[in-house]
Amino acid sequence: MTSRQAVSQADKLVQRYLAQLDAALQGVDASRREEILAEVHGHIDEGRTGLDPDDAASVRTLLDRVGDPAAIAAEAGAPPPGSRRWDMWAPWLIIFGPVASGLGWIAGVLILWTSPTWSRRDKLIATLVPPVGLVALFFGLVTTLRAAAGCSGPAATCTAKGLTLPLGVAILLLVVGLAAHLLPPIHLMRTRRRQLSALA
Amino acid sequence: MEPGEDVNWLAQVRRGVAEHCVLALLTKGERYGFELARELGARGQIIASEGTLYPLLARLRRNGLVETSWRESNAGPPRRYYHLTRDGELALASFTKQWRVFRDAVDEILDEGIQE
Repeated sequence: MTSRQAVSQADKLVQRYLAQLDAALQGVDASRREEILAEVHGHIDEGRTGLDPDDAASVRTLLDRVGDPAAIAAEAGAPPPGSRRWDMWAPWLIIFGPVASGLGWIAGVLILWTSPTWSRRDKLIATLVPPVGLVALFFGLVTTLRAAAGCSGPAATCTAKGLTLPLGVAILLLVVGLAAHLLPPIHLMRTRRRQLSALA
Repeated sequence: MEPGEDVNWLAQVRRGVAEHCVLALLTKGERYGFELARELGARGQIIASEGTLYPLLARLRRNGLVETSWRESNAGPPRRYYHLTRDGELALASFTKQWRVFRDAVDEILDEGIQE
């Protein structure tokens, strides 16, 4: 029983180390990052073949010799952690920037694209989707209010002019717009938090 | 501040030198990463830690100074073996010549400093 726990503890040490290395390698191009991760992983496996697999202490010694993930990342040319210091603001600026002032949104997008924390795909989605979501949210809100005011029935009963939609469609538009506006920045926050906890 | 500065110059010297030490080890025949890491690690100072070898190997491969091939191992998963290319041999020869001149010049200056 104790030996099984020790095995999983040693495995956990290795997993945590590789997660730290993966996080530290953010900003290094994907193929190089994979190559380095795979090689370090192979190195650790190779080092463990000669060791007692139950012994967490010897795995710790092995990982010490492999060294600080930050040093490996620096050797790989990863951008220094300083380029991430504004990260926490990007999601908030993307959410509230367009409402408060367009400049806030631009600042958020600038932070987003200059940081190594997020992948290119996440950056593209967080740049393009929330503005579309905001427009949908706006129209959803307007048409919901109109529909609620009785504009969804026959045209004759409606006194308001402009776009009208059935109430259900209008509410759906509102909800989808809200989701499209909020979910990409929330995803940015979660990605960042995951990396910070891996590096800690 | 002094110890910090010591570490810093060593890191800077290592950058170019460690790569060529890897090339030199490969003249004795192809090696896989773990072997190279242990050989370099055993001599101390050449690499900062065993893990820093791998970005360095990736760089050598990208610059065409080494090539890799996968081989089965009798224990565990296949290993990636590194071997020198012709460009790697040329780079090593040119480094070796320049390094000896450089090393002699540094030694001479340091010795003069000690004698005074």
